[in-house]
Amino acid sequence: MRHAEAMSPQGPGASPATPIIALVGRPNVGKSTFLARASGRFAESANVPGTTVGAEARPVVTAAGPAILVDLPGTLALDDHPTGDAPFWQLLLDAAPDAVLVVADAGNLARHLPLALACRDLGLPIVLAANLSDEASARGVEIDTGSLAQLLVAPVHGTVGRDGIGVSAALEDAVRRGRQRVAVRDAGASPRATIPAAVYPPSVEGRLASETNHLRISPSLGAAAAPAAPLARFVADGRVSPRGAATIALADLLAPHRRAMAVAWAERVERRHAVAPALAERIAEASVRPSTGIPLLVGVLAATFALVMVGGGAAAAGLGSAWNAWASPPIHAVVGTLVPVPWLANALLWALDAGLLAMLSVGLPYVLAFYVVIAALEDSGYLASVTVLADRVLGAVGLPGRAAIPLLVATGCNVPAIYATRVLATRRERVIAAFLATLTPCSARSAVVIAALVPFAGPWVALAAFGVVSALTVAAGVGANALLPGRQSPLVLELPPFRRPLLRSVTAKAWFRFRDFVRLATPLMLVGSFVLGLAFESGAVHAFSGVVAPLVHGWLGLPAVAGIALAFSFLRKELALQLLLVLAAAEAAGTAVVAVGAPIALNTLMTPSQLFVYAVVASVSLPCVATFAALAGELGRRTAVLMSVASIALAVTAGGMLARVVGIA
Amino acid sequence: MASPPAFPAAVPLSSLATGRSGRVVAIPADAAAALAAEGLAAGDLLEIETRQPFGGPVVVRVGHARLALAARIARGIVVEPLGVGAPTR
Repeated sequence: MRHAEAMSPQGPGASPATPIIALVGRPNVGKSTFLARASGRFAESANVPGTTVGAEARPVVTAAGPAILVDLPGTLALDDHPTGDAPFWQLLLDAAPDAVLVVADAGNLARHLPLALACRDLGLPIVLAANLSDEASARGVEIDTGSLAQLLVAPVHGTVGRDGIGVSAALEDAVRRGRQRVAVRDAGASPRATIPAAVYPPSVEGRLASETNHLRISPSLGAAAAPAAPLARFVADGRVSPRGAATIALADLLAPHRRAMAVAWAERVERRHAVAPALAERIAEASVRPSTGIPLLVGVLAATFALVMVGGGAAAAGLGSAWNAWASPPIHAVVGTLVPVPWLANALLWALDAGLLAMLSVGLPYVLAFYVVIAALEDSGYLASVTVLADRVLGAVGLPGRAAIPLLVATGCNVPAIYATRVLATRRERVIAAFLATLTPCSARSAVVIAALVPFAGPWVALAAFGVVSALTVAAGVGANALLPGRQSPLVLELPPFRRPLLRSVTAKAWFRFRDFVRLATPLMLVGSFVLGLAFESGAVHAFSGVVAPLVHGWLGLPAVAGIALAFSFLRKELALQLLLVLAAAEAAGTAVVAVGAPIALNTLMTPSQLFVYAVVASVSLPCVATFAALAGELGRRTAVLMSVASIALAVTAGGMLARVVGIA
Repeated sequence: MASPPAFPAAVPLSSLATGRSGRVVAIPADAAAALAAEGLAAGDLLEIETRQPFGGPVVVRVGHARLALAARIARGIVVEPLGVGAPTR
C-alpha cells in the first residue's frame, strides 16, 4: 500500500485530543493553496487537476486550538479512485477525520455541492469553504452564504485561498466542530448525527435504512469472519456511522438525488449579474481554439526552451568561471594538504571539484530555471489547454492528452515526471507515459546534447540530434502502444480558469522540487565521481574500455573511452558530458589529472559525426539511477528493468544505424 | 447508435457546430459514470466552444464549467440542438 505511511497523521507526538481535519474537494479547486494559506507553507499545487497525489498531514494552530490538517487528493466523488487504487472514501476514513472541510468552487456550486452532501451523509461534521469567490465575482456570481448554510445545516464561508481571505475563519469553524466531536467521543458517547434525519425521498430512505441495519449487524459478524470488508471495518472502528457507511454502499442510488439537490440549492443561493468575459477567460478560450491555440503552444514551448537554455547557459558559464576562480583553488589546496596520497587526492578532487561543479553548473541553472517555468505554467492553468491540444497527437501512442503533463515535466527532470504519471487512469497509460518520459531528454541530457554539439558540430546538428531523439521516442511509443494489451481511456477533463501565477507559490514550488532534486542527486554525483576518479586513477578504466570496445568502437564507431562516459552516465546523465570533457582533457594533456579550468576541446576526442552519434546514444540509453529508482518504486522493479533494457536496445540499435548513415562505422 | 425516436431532432454532440447549443438527451452507458462525476448528465444545456482538428477533443461549456471531451465520447452523447446562439451561461 503506497498510502500506508502517508496515512497515519496521528504520529506518536500528536495528542489524541487534537482533532483531525480532512480537506476534501474536487480537483483543481485550490485545496493545496488553501492548505498552504492555512498552514503557512506552499504545498505542491498546480492549476491542473490531480497535483496532490498522496495525502499530506500538517499540524496547525488556529484561534480555535491546534489541529492536524490532512490534504487529500482531489476527487470527483467519494467512490472515485483519484490515485488509481483505493476508492477516495477509504483514503478519507483512513485519515480518521473528526471534521471535513469541503473546499468548493463558489462559481460552480451545482458541480461542487454533491461532494459536500456526500461528506455530510457520512455523519462527519462538515464546513464548506466556497473558495475561488474572487473568480466567481469576476464572472458575476455572488453566493448567499447564510442561505446556503441553512440549507446545508453546516457553516459556509466565502474564501479566496490565494489571498487567504476567509481561510482562517473556515478552518477555525472546522476545528471547533472537530473538537466537539472529539470531546463527545472521549466522553464515551457516540457522536451525534450532524445531519437532518431524512434527506432523501422515502423510497431511498427505506433502502438506506435497510442497508444501515445490515451494516450495523455485519461488523460483529465481520470480527469473526476475517477479513472484514473495509466498509464494515470502518463501522466497527467507529470511524463512520452505519448510516454513513450505507450512503457509501448506495452511492449510485444517491448520486442523482444529490445532484438534483445541488442544482436546486445553487439556483437559490446564487445571485448572478451579467459581466463582460474577463481577459483571462478570453485567453483561456483562445488557448484551446486550434487557430490560436497551436501557435500559442509552439510559442510557449519555444519561449520555455529559449529561457531555460539561454538563461541557464549564461548562468552555467558564470557559475563555472566563478567556481574556477574562487572555489577550485582552495579545494585543491585543502585536499592536497589533508590527503598526502596523490591517487586518492586526485580521486577526491574528481568528486569535490569536478563533481560539485557539474552539480552546480547543470543542476542550478538548467533544472532550477526549468522548475520555475513549469511551476508558473502549472499555476496559470495553461497545462490543461496543452492537454486538450495534445490529446489527438498523444492518442497515436495510446496516451490521453493529460499525459502531456508528465511528458512536459520530463523535459525538466524524469524523476518528477514518473511521479506525475499518477494523473493517468490506467497502469497501461502509466507504463507507456513513464517509458516515453525516460526517453524524453531531461534538462541534463538536453544540456549534454547542446553543450557537446553546438560548439563542436554546430546548432543544426544539435537540432538534428533532438529530432532523431524525438523520432525514436515516438517510435517507441507506437511500439509500446501496439505491444501492451488494452486501449486508452477517452478524455473527460474539466478545464480550469486561467489564473495569474502567484510569485510566492511558484518560487516555493520550484524551490521544493529543486531541493528534492539536489538531495537525491548530490550524493549520487559525489559518489559516482569518486568511483570514476578511482577507476581512472588506478587505470581500471582502460580495462573497462577494452571490454566495451567491440560495441562502442565496432558498432557505434566511437572511441572506446566514450563507452566509459556512457556507462557512468547511469549515475547522473550530465556525467555523459562531464566525463567526456574530462576524458578529452586527459587525452589532450596525456595525464589523468583533471584540469577543469582549462578550455577543453571535445574535438580532440571525437569528430563532429561521432559527437552526434554519442549525443543521441547518451540521450536515449538507460535512464539515470534516480529515474530507475523512481520507476522501480512507482511501477515495480521488473518494469523498471524492462524499460532500461528496452532503452539500451533502442539506443544501441539506432546509434549503430546512425553511425553507418554518417559514415563513422 | 440510433437516436431515440422521442427526440426526432436529436444528433450526436460531435455533429453540433461550434458555437451551437443543445440539451443533452442521452449519454453513452460506458462513459456515464465519468461524465456524471464531471457533472454532465441528461437534461443539461451545453454549448460547443471549440473542437480540435483530426478527430481531437471537443470543448463544451456546461454552466460555468468548461469540459474537454474526447471525440469518441462526443459521438456517443446525444443532444437536441437549440436555436443558434441560445445562451447557456
